[in-house]
Amino acid sequence: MPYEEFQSEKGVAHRIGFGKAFVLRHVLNSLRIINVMPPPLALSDLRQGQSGLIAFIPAGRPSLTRLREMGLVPGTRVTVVRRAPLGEPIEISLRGSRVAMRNHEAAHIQLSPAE
Amino acid sequence: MSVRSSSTAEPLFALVGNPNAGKTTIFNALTGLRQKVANYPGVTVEKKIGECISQHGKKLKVIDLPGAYSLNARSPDEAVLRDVLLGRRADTPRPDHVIIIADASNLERNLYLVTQLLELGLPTILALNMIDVAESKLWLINIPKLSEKLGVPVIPMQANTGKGILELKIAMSNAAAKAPAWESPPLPEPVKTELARSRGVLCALGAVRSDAALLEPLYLISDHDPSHYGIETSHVSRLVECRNNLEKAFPGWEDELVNARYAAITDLCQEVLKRPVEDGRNFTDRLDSVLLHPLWGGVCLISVLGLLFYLMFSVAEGPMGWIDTAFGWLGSWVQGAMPAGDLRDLIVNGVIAGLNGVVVFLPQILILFFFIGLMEDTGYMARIAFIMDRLMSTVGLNGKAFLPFLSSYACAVPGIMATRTIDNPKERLITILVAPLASCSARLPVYSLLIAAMIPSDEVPVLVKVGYMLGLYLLGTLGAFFFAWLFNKRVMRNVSSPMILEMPGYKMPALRSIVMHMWERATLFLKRAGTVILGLTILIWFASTYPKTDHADPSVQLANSFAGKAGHLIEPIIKPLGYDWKIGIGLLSSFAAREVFVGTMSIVYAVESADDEDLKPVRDRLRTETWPDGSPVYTPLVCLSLMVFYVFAMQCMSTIAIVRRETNSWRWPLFQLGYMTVSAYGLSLLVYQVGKALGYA
Repeated sequence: MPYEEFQSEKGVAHRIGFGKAFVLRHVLNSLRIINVMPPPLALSDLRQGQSGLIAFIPAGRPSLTRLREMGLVPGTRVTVVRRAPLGEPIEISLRGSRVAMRNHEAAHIQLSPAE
Repeated sequence: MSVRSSSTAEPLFALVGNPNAGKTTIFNALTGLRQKVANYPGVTVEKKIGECISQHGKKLKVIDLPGAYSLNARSPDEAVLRDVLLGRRADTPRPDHVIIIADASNLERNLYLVTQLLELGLPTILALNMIDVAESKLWLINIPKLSEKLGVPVIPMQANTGKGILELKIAMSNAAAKAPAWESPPLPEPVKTELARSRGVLCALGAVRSDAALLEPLYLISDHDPSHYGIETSHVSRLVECRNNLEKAFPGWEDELVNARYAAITDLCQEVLKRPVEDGRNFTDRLDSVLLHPLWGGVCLISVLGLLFYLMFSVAEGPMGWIDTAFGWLGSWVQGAMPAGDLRDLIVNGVIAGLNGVVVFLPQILILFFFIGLMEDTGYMARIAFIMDRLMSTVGLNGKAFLPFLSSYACAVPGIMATRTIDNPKERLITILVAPLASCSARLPVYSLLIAAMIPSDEVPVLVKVGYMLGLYLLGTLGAFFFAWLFNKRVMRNVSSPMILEMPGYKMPALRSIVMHMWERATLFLKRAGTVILGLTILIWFASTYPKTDHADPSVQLANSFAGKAGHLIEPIIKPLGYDWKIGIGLLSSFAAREVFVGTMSIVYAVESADDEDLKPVRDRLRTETWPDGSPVYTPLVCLSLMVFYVFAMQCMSTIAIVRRETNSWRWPLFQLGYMTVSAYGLSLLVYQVGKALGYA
């Protein structure tokens, strides 16, 4: 099963739900039946100053839809500007604007390498 | 359903835009003091309408609509914006023209709402604010091209210095009733078909007009506001059905539409916006590297908050003293000028004392709102929320709740008024509900008296008293956190929303606008909360004055009044806490304001010359007070129990009045009064009974 099937907006994740796809992916990976994919990189994994391109945001969740409306659509380049002194929220820069969010939301946003 | 305002009346311009785009500054610059503030019915969203004179000397009406990121509403604020622009509100006519305020330094994100608004087809002017910030980032915006692409006049502005206001007024004067030319990518066919079907369904229900554009069912279906403000409750289930059908016809439609809109915006920006590949380090970055630094950021935050507290506690004390003196002078003047009698008593002890109790809040309110205005306008407010968010999230609140809660340590009234800066309605309500648990300055005299009565000063070092005082502050804070956590978990648990915080660039504040905002808050407080406070003061005056006795001794008079009788009446209830009926009178009368307890107790015990400065005579009198059997009333345990009571009890009618105003119903202030009184009673009972069982009584 190709990586893109999990990543794409019409793929496995979309059909069976993001959470189930996540579990399925990990089960398949840990059984080593097929190498489904490299470990996904989430926005919450980035360190200060690192960038990535948004690859996938689960659809149909109002909170994440609002982030989309603020410009976090697939293909957008995001850079982590800083984390708050207590570790959360994360301030990111995208399209020339600055937005902060918590790890909880950032963990759902999957990235692909920027360059 | 209302129709567009008729052409014979003054044309109505709606100001619309993202939060932080400078909308309020522009509204104030256009209308000056010719504005009226009201609430949309049933919700705490403010409705601001003002007047402005066009270049041709014609009157124009301007309505300042709430700031929003999208027409897909997620809060009552955004629902109001949607409903006014779609002409769905009976109380507000549909605007004839739209003025969109967009942040030029954040053009792409702002264009999201801009393109949504243009699709509504109303004649529009686009004001491109903060053009100076965009220029400082070396962004080049091709304004004629943008104007041509969108089909609307585009006016570059710098509202905090007043640049561009005249051009905007000229554009408003010349505004033609021409619809914008912008065409967004068409809706996918399945979505269109399904929306048309939904429109039929909703039209049969009466939720939309038959001539409604497809956008109206679309925005109603994508309503994510948990309270569904502006939508009739009976229509909600049908809307959910429509939503499910749409989801079936085109899975992931909502996110797909966002993606398509951004694709169009990206294309548009490639034509009109030239910017460096990587934004260089600008002023905001340099400032943030200090203000959000793990160490220096904390130091700066503490200094700023320290200054705020100094202003609210110390500097406000001066004017508050003047106000007290002035009303005291007025009272004694009336006392001398009028013949003795009930009417004079009413005027001096009811009306003048009540007005004093209202006006005395003004210095703190003005200082807090000047400060908040300054911090919101400069952009520092978002940084405070950013730093404090992690801490506040432990009890289910977000960083924006921090400042209002902190201000409540000075006084809950301005603190609760400041919760307007919290955009999430649920978190705003929780903050309002727990704010009075922060030990406000009115509790200080009560704590001081009771600590003094508990520990005679000569025997114990001062540090112990300070320790008790800090302990009481800590207890209140823990209580607030506990109840915030509880309300978050239990009371409104099915409403969840993420924390998304925009970090605007720093900019110079528009002082004129801040001062106007202060003025507006102050007058609203006087009008809405002031009347309730005045009424309750008169009521309490009445209860402690009547029925009249012939006794000249005020303590006998008070004991025989309604309040005194009520004290006797509640004695069985408060006896388990260790209190007698005299303390009962103190509790009841201090419902007006906590510090009244000290004054009342000095009347009850007929102590001469008791003022706030010198607690000694009252303290000494308290220490000699005994029960009929000769045992002392004010044992250390009773003092402790009383202190715990004052930490948790609502005991402040001004707070009730302001909560009534800020939540727009009696439901929440009464709930608050209930939970605080019950917890105060329960905890004092616990303290007294456990203490007694351990042999401390």
